[in-house]
Amino acid sequence: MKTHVLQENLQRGLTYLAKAIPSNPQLPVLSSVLFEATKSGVIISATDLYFGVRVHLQASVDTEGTIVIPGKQLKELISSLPNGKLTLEYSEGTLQIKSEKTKTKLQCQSAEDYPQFPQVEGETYTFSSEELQAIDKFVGFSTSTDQARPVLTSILFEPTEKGLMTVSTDGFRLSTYKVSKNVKGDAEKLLLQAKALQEVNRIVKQVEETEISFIVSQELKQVYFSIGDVEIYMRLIEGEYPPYEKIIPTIFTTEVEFQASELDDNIKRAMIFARDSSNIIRFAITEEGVEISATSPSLGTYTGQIAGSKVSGKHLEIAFNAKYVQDILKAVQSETVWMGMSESLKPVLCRPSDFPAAEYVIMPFKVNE
Amino acid sequence: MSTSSVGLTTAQVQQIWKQACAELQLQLSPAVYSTWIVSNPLTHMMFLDETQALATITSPTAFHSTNLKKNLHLQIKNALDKHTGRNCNIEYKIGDPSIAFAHNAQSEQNSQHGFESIKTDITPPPIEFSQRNDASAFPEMQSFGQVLPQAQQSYSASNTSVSPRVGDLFSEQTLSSAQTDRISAISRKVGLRSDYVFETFAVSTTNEMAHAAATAVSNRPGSAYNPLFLYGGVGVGKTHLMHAIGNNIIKNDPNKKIIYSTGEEFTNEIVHAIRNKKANEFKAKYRSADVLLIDDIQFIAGKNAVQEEFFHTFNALTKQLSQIVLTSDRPPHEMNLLEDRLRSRFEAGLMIDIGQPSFELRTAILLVKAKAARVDIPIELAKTIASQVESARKIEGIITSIRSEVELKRRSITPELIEEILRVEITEKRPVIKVTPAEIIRTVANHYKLKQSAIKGTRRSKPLVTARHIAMYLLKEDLSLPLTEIGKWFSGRDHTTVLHAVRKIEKEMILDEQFHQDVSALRMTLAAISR
Repeated sequence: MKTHVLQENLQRGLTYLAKAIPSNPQLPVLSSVLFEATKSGVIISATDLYFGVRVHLQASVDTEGTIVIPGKQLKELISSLPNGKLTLEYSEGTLQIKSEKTKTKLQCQSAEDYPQFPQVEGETYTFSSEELQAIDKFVGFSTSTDQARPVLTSILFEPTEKGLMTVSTDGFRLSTYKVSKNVKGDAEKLLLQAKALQEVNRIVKQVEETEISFIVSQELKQVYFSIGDVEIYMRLIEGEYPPYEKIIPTIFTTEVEFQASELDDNIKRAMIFARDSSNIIRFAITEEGVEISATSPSLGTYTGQIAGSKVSGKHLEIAFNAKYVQDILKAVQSETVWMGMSESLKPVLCRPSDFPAAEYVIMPFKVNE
Repeated sequence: MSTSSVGLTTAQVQQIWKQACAELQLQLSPAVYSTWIVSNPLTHMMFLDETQALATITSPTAFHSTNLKKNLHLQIKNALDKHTGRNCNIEYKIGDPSIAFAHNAQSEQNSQHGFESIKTDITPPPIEFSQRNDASAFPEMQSFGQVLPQAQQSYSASNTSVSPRVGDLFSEQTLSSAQTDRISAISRKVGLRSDYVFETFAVSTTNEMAHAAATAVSNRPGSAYNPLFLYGGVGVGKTHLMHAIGNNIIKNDPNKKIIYSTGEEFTNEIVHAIRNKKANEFKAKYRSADVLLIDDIQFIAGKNAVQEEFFHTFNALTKQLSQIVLTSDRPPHEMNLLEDRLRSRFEAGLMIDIGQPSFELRTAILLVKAKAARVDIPIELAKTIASQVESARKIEGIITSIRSEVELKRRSITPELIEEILRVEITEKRPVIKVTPAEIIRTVANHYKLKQSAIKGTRRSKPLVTARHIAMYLLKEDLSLPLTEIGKWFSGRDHTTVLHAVRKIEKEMILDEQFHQDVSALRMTLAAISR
C-alpha cells in the first residue's frame, strides 16, 4: 500500500476520530486506527464498538491496501509534523511515514482483526445544525454520567403533538426543550447518548454543514450520521425513560422572577463558600425579596440580596445545589428567569422568561435546620 | 405452545451458555473472549424438535453483532450444538441482554409446562432447577454484570453524599405528590373542592346508600347509575359527595372532561348565552362533557327556558353515555314547578335520599373535619358539639371558629372554649324564618298535600293531626307566637293543646329521623320564602 496525503487533512481527520479511539480497550486492536486506501481515496476509522467514526480523506493512492495503525502514536506523530505532503507506505508489518524531512517507521497489526462497521438502514431524520446544537445546549448538560443506567445518559427525542420534545435528566434535575419542528406522526421515541451527540456537534461545527441527517435502525439499535466527509455511528439506547412529564410541577405557592445576571453574580459569590458543603445555597424568599446564603464550616458565610427579584406568593426557605442553577443560567442566557416553587422539598420549575421553549425542573436540597 | 417446539427457561438458557462459554474460553484469546463472548450472551433458546434448535444471541451494539456473525459464528454454533445435542440456528439480535432476559422471565410465567417436557433433555441435569425456576431471573442476570434496572420503579441514582442530599426527582413520593398536585389543579379548574373526597366523608346508616352509589358512579362513570339524583336537607353531605365523585373521576382519569356548576350558575350561564347570542357555545360546552355535575338542581324549577335547555342537554349527554349527577334539597316529585318530562327523567335514574346525620355520624363528621383542618378535638368535646349542632355545615363553621381561636388567640381547646363558641354559633347560624302564620300553615299543607282548611279544622285523622302539630310547633318555635294566639289559628284550640303538640313534636323529632328531616325540610322552605 502506498498513498500520499496532506498532513493538514490527516490531522483534521484524526481529531474527528479522537473520541472513538479507546485508550485501554479489552481488545487491543481497538486502540488502533483503521486505514483503508482505495482508488477513490483514503478512509480512516476508529471505534470502541459503541461509538464509531469514519472520515474520508482526500488522498492520492498509488497502491491500495488496508492496515491498522496504533492510534495514539499516529495522532501524536501527525500533529507534530509540519503541514505538507506525507507519504505512507506499508510493507510486511511496517508502515513508513515520510514527510519532507522526517521518516518514521511504525509497527502495525494485521487489519483482519479490526472489527467491521455495521450497515445501517432505516428511517432518516433531518435537523438543521442550529437545532442540533440548541438541543445540546439546552438539555445536554443535565444527563447522568453513570454508565450503569444508559437511559439517563441519553437525551430523549420524543415526538409530541406540540412538536419534538427533547429531554434529559440525571434523576435530580430535568431539562426539556421543545424543538420548533414538525415531526411525522408515526415517528418513534429515540434515546441518543448525550456524549455521542456532543461529539457530533463538535464535528458539525468544524465541518460547517447546515443540515444534518441521520439514519436510525431500530433493528440494529444503531444511529448513523453522515456529515460531509465524516460518518458517525452511535448506538440507540434501549429502555424505558422515566415518566418525566409526571414530575413537572403544576402548582406553585411561591413564584420569583430573577434578574439572571444578579442571580448569577450572587451564586458565584456564594459558591466560594458552598463548594465545601456540596454546593448548597439557600434562598430565603420573603415579600421583600430573595436573600441568598451559603456557609462553609471552615471558611465562613456569604449572604446577599438578589436585587431585582420579583416575589409573589408565600414566603419560603429552600436550598439548591448551586451548580444546577448555574447550569440553567449558562444554558439559557436569558435576561430574567422565573422559578415556581411550592414546598421546600418539592421539585421547582424554572423557566427562562425570554425563551419559553426550554423548561427546567430541579430538586431542592434536604437541609437539616 | 406445541410440544414439539419449546422455549427454554432463563435458567436453562444460562446453563447452556455457561457450558458453551467454558468451551469457547479455551479456544479464544482472553481479549477476544471478553470482548466478543461475555458481552454477547445467549438470551433465548428454542428447541424446535429433537434435532433442531433456534438460539438467540443478544449483542449490545450493531458493531458487536456484525463482527460476531462474521468472525465467531462457527465457534459459537459448534459450542451450542454440542451442549444442546441439536443443530442450532443462531439469530443475532441487538439490545440490552438484561431486558431480553426480563422479557423471557415474563413469557415463562405463561409457559411453565414447556419446562417439564424438556427437563430430561438437558445434560447434565440442572442443579436445583425447580428452585431456580421459582425464583425470578434477576439474581442470574447479575452474573452478566448488568443488574436489571430497578429503575423501572424508582429512578433513584446512587448518591453518595450522606446528609444533606438532593431528593430524588423520580421517587415514588415526588411522583405521587406531583400527581396529587396535578389532580388538584384540574379539580380546582373544574371548580371542585379538593378536600371534598370520599376519604373525608363519614359514612353511617343515613348516608351509606348514597355513599355506595356515589363511589360506584365515580368508578364507572356513565355506566353505573345514570343519572344519579341525590337529595336531602341542608348539610347532609350532598355537595360533599358530588365533589367527591368529581374528584375521584379526575383521579382515575385526569383527561375526563368534567363540568361542575350549581343550578344557579347553570341558569345564569343560559341567560347570559341567550342574551349574547352565544347559545351554540353554551351547547357545545355542556354537551361535550363526560361528566356533568349540577348542584341544587331545584333552582331551575319554574324557569321555563332554562328547563328546556337543561332537558336537551340532559338528553344529549345520556345518549352519549356521559354521567350526570344532580343534587337537590327535595325529591323530584316534590319539586312542584318542575316540568313533568324532566321529573320523569330524573326519576328514571337512581334517586337516593340522604338523611339528617345522626348523633354518632355528626360526631364522626366532626372528627373527620377537625382532622382535615388539623384541629385536635377530644372525643368528649366532639360529642358535646355534635349533640348541639344539627347539620354538617354548621359543624364546619364551628371547626373554623375553634381553629381561629386556637391559631390566632393561642387558646387551647377546653370545654369552656367549646361552650362559648357553641353559644355564639348556634344562635347566630339558625335559619331565620320571617313569614306570616298563614304562610306556615300553607307550606305545611302543601308539604303533606293537605288542604289548609283541613289543617285548621277539627277533624282528627292521623296525617291531619301530625301536620297540624308541626304547624303549631313551627309557629311556636320559629315565630315565637304565644300559645293562645296559635290556638286561635286552629279553630280556637286551647293553649294547653298547643303546648302538648309542641312537646310531642320535639319528642318525635329526637326519636324519628324521618320526622326530623321533614321538619328541617319545612324550615328550609320557609327560610327560602322568608323576606
